[in-house]
Amino acid sequence: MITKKNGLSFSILVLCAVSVVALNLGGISSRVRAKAFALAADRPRVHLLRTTGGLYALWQERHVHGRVVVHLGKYLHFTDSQLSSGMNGQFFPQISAVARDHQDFRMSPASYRNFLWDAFQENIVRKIYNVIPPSDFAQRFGQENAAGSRQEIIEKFAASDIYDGAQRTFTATLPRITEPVLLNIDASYFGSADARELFDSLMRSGLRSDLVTVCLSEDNPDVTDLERGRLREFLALLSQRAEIIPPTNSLDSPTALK
Amino acid sequence: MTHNERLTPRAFTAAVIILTLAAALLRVLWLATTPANGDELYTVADAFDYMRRGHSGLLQWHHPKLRNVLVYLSMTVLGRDAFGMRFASVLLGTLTVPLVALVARALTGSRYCALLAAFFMAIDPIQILFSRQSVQEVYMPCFLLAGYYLALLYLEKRKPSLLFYAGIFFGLGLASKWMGLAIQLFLLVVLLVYRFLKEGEPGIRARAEEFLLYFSSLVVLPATIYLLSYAPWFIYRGYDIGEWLVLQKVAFLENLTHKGANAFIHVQDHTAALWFVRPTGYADFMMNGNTPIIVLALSNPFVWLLTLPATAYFLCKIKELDWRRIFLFAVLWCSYLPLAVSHRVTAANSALGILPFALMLSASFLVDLAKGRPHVKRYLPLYLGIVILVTVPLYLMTVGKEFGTWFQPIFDLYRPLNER
Repeated sequence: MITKKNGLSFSILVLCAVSVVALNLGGISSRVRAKAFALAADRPRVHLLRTTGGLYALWQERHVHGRVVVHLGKYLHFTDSQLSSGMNGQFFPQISAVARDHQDFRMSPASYRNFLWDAFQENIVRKIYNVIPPSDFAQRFGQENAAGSRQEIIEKFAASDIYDGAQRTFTATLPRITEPVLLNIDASYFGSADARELFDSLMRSGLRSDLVTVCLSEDNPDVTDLERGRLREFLALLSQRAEIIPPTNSLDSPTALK
Repeated sequence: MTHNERLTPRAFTAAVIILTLAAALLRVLWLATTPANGDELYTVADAFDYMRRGHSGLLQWHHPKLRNVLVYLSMTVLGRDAFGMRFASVLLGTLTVPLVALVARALTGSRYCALLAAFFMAIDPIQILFSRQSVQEVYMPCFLLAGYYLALLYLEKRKPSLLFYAGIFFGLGLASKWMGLAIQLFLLVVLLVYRFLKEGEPGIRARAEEFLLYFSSLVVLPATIYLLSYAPWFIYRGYDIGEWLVLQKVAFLENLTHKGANAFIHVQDHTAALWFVRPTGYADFMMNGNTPIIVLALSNPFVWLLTLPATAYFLCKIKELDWRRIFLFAVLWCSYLPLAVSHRVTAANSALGILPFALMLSASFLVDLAKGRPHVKRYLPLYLGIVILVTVPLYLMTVGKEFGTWFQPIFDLYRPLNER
C-alpha cells in the first residue's frame, strides 16, 4: 500500500518529469520549418537574393521560427541596435514608454549590419553558426590580436555575445548538426574562399535544410564585385545539384542573375 | 517566569501585525513619486520582453526569471507606473517582516526575540531600499523564510504537505536569485535528516520514505519550479532541454564573475567582509525631470554591528545551545563566509539573503543578555530609542529626501573619488 508520504513524493517526481517533457516538446514544437532535404542527396531549391534585407524578408515571409541558422560569410551581422523609440533617446524615459516599446528599444530595421541580430530578436533564429573563411577567422580571432591565445579570445568574444544564453558559434568549418537548418551563403565568404572547395565541403557536410539561400549582399558596401563573381561561380556548380530560384520580391529583382 | 509566558500568543500576533503594517507604510511612503533608476527601467523592458517573446534582456539575462513574471503581472494588473512596477518588491519585502518573526520564534523559542528581529527588519534601510525598487533582491529572502518556517513546522507536526509547500517556496526563491540559497537549503536538509535520525521512526523503510520525501520536496520540487519559470523562453523561442542546460552552465559562469552594468557600483565600497564591522551602504542615482535624486541606504550601525558581539557571545555558550540556535548560527555563518571571502563584487544587496539570520542572532543575543538581569533590561528601551532615532534620518536618506540638506556630507562620502 502506498503511504501518504510516498504518494506525495512520487507525485512530485511525476510532476517534474511531466514538466521536463512538456517544456522540451513545447520548445521543439514551436519551431516552424518546411520539409527538410539533405544537401547532397536531394535536389534542393536554392533561393538567390540580392540583399540581406531581401533574405530577412524571405525568412519573415516563410514564417520560420526558433531555428538554427548556418551563415557562411566574412561578417557577423550582429550589430546591436541603437536605442530607438522605447528609450526615446532619453537616459531616464517614462516607465510606460519602456513597457510599450520594450521590443522596439532593441530593434532597428534589418540591414547588412544587423540582420542576424534582428532575426535573433524576432525569434526567427535561436542559435547562430557564423562559418567564417579560415583566413578571415584567423585574422578576426587569433593572429591579429596578440593579447591572448586564440582560444581565450574566442571564449571572451563568445561570452560577451551570449545574449539570453543564445549560443553563437564562430567557426571556420561547417558544423555537424542533425536538426534541419536555415543555410545562407553570403558573397562575402568568397573573399578568400574557393567556390569548388566550399561546394565539396557542403556536399560532404551532412547538413539538412528546408531553406537554402545564397545572397549577393548588394546592400553591403564591404562586399566586392569580385566576391559576387565568385559567388556566381559557386552558383553554377550548385545548379548541377540544385534548383536555383531567382529573386522574386520587391527587394530582390531578377536582374541579380545577370 | 519566562519571557514567552508574559507575552501571550495573542499579544505576539497583534505585535507582528502592527510591525507588518508599519513595515508596509515605510515601504510605500513616497513610492509613486520616486522615479525609476536605470536598473528598474531594464526590469520593465525585460519583464515585457520575457513574457511576450521569451527574451530576458541584455544586461540581466543570467538572473533567474521569476522577477520578469512578477513585474509583468503586477504592471498588467496595477498599471504601467512606478507602483505597478514595484508592487511585487513592496509586497514580498513587507511580508519578510512577519516571516522573520515566525522563523525567529521557531528557532529561538522566544516571542520577544522574534518581535525584536522583526522590528529590526521592518526598519532596516537596505531592506527598505530594495523593497522600493522593482529589482529582485527582496524576493529570495522572503521565499526562503517562508520555506524555512514551513519546514520547521514540519519538524513539529510531521505533516508531509508542509514540506511540499516549503518546496514550492524554495522553488520560488531559486527562481528569484541563486545566491546563498543552495547552502541554506542544504543546511535545512542536514537538519531534517539529523532530527529524523534522532527522533523519527526506526527502520529502513521508514527512513527511505522520509528521505525520499526530503529529496522530492526540497530538491526536485524547487528545481521543477525553477525550470517552469523558463516556460516563455522555451515556448516563444524554440529551445529544448539540452539548450536549457547549456544556458544554466553559461549563466552560472556569468554569475561567478558578474560585475554589473553600473560602473558607479564599483566606486562604492561593498566589501562583504566588513558588512558587520562598520556601516555599509548602497547608493543609487535617478532623475526626476531635471532634478537629481540620490537614494542612499546605510545600515543602522546599532543593529548590524551587533552581529559580531552576538556571534562571540553564542560561541562562548555553544555547548549550552540547543539545535535550533546552532542551526541559526550555522545558516548565518555558512551563508555569509563564502561572500566575505569571495573576490567577486558583492554589493550590499546580497546581504539581504543573510540579514534575517543576523538580525535573529542579534535579537536573541539582546534577549539573552536581558534575561534575569534587571539592570540590563532597563537599558533595552533606551537602546531601542536610539535605534529608532538613528533610523529616522537613515530612512529619509533611503527614500531620497535628504540629498542637498545638511546630510550632504554623508552623500559626498559616496561620490566617486574623482568628483570629490
